[in-house]
Amino acid sequence: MSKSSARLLVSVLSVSLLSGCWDQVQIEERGFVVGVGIDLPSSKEMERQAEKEAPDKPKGKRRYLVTHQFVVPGGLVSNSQGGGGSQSSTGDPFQNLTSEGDSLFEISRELAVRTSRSPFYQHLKVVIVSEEVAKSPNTFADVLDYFLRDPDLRRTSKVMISKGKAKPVLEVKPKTEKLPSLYINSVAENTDRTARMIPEVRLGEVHEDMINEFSFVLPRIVAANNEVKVAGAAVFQGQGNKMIGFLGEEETEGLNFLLGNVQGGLLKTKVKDNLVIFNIQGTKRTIKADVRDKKRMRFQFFIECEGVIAESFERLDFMESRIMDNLQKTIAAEIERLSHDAIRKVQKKMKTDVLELGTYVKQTHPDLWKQLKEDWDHGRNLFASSEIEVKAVVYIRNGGSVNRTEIR
Amino acid sequence: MNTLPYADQKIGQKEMVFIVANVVIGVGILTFPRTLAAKTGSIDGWISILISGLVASVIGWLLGKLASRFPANSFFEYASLIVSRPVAQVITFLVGIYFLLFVSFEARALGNIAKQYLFTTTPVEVITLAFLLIVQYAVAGTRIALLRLNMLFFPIVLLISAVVQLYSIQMLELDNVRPLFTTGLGALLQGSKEVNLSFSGYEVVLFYTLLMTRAEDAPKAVVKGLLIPIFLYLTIYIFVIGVFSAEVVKNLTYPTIELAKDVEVPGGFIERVESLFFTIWIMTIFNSCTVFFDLAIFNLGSIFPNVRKFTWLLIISPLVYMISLWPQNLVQFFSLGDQLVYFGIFITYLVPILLLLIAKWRGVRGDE
Repeated sequence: MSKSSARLLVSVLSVSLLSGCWDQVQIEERGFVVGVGIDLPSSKEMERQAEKEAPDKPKGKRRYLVTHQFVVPGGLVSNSQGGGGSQSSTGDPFQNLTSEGDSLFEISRELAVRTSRSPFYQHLKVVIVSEEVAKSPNTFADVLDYFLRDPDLRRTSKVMISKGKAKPVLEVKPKTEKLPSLYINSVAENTDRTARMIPEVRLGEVHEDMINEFSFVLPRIVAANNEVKVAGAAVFQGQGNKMIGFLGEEETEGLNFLLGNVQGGLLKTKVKDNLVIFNIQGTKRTIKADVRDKKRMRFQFFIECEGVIAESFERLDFMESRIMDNLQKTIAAEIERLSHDAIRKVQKKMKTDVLELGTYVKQTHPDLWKQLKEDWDHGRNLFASSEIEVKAVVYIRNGGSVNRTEIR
Repeated sequence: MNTLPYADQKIGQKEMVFIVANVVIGVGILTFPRTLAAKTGSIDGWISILISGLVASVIGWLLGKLASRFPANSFFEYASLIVSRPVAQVITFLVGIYFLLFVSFEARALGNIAKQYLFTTTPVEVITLAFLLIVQYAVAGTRIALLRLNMLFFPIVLLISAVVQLYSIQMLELDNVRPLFTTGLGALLQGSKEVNLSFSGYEVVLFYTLLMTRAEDAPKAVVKGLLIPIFLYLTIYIFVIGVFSAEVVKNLTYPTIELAKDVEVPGGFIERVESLFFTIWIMTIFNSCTVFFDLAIFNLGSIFPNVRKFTWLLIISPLVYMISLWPQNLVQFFSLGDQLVYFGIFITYLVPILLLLIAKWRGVRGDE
């Protein structure tokens, strides 16, 4: 054998024998998980069974019922195109697998015995945690630990709290989207259209809130028939990261104004017994604080809001500056009403600072914050005893394309 | 004008700048925000970065001064001129060992991170081995080619890290950055000690000045080369804190990777920017590894001039591989890294500065 052909042989052999990949997973074998729902099991049956099988096994304090939503790529092919004999095109484009266990990792790995496609979390869009889980003491951080710790997961998945069970939320069949999780994902991004939804909160931000021990809010999601509703908010106490309760849609609107989150939405006001509707196009919020008296701190929210008239049942002359001034004042009063309602609920009832006043004090008076930290919205609860005022100013930029719709 | 600018076996100032920058950017860039945030607890850590950057620049300048005093001599040769041959032998041997350990450390770092984020089922031994084989292949070639490779890679590295940071602007939250200037001087200095560990590597100037066309540019080149990582560290720290807040950064194993993972390029054109980030990071690790490997061989080789370079390669490679597999877990690995840097501070900063002082005092100069 000549030298050159020996070389050729060696290189061919090394290319074919030495190359390879341990981590090769064909895309057909990947089970793309797009949504996860976390519940508490409703019966103790599984637990008893597990107890019987292995009584000495280390057990967690709590058991979870976790629903994984997998994408079924065959179902994604639309029926008009997939007529060519694709057998799976009739089925759902997703599959929900629910499993019970006391560790989320265990549940995820248990799915291996039930599905041909191993769970792959890189494209996880939403994590839905049920109200029940969030309200149990020391549980919320536990269920998120796996999602934060696994290097495969990213911190950008959205976290939401479901009113009632989380599983039904992942089972809705929307007409406009194929995958429930992607549908929820895009609904949660509609904050420029409504003020009743708090801006999306990502896994990384929840980690931030939990570790900083500030109280926080997460979006509330409710499943109904074939749709979900993302509106309202779940309030979490920063100490222990336990959910206290929900804010209703109106209260959430008020909270959004106080947090400066409002990008769009509407405000209704009455002029002479008829409704006038204001379309919000942007807001700005500033806080002023008087912190001299620790037991009675005073905070002043100043909210500026601009927009246009969207609908008017009262025939007003929107070219008249006096009328516009009055209208601006009544709409401002509506903002103040909404804000006061939200303040009443979170400050007086829940005594939990989701108004980010703690953050404000920390940023502007870091030394004072060090003394207050332990008594802010727990302990002596200085937050609850502080005084909060709201002042709103509205700018109506125009009255729309017409001035009056009819002469009355 | 030179018609064939790269035909000679020499490097210019620009090459030196890029080598220093490339070698300094290594494992530290992924972890320093965590250690720094743990010490300073706020955005103020940027001051620590400046302090340690300044310290590094001063040391780098001194090392450059020493090397440019002997423009035609290798480290072993000028060390022998300054402090007799036997002492120089010991120093050079330790320097060789230091670089050998450094290669092991970086190769293992690559193995760890590639396993954690990219190849979860591939054994770390195999990843490290594959990487080391490529490094050996590169080192087996000419030295000047290695150094030119730095020039080739570095602009790509800068470009991608700029992209990652550009797109993370949208995730910056001012709330995380404030309050400013709350950290005491003590904490800042402790922080700068942590960052100092991430600046090591610029000692390569001691050994490559020999190859420079104008050796007197060496001190300037080190400082310029250090400016790039200083700037990069500053922006990364500010971004990481701005995006995650200091408390979270303390609890992230590799904050910089998490930043790259969070970045979303609008329009969904590239969803996983971290794959780009890993690519460039591996490129810089590869560059530093080849440089350190080359220096390990060169220094050990200069004590025993009769042994061929390729023989050295064969002797050292298994050693490097075995040492790189020594740490059993991440905690041991990081502590190996810290000890390595302290050893480096002694043998490549303190000793050479002493050499410089002695050389000045005794008036030793290199031959032109």
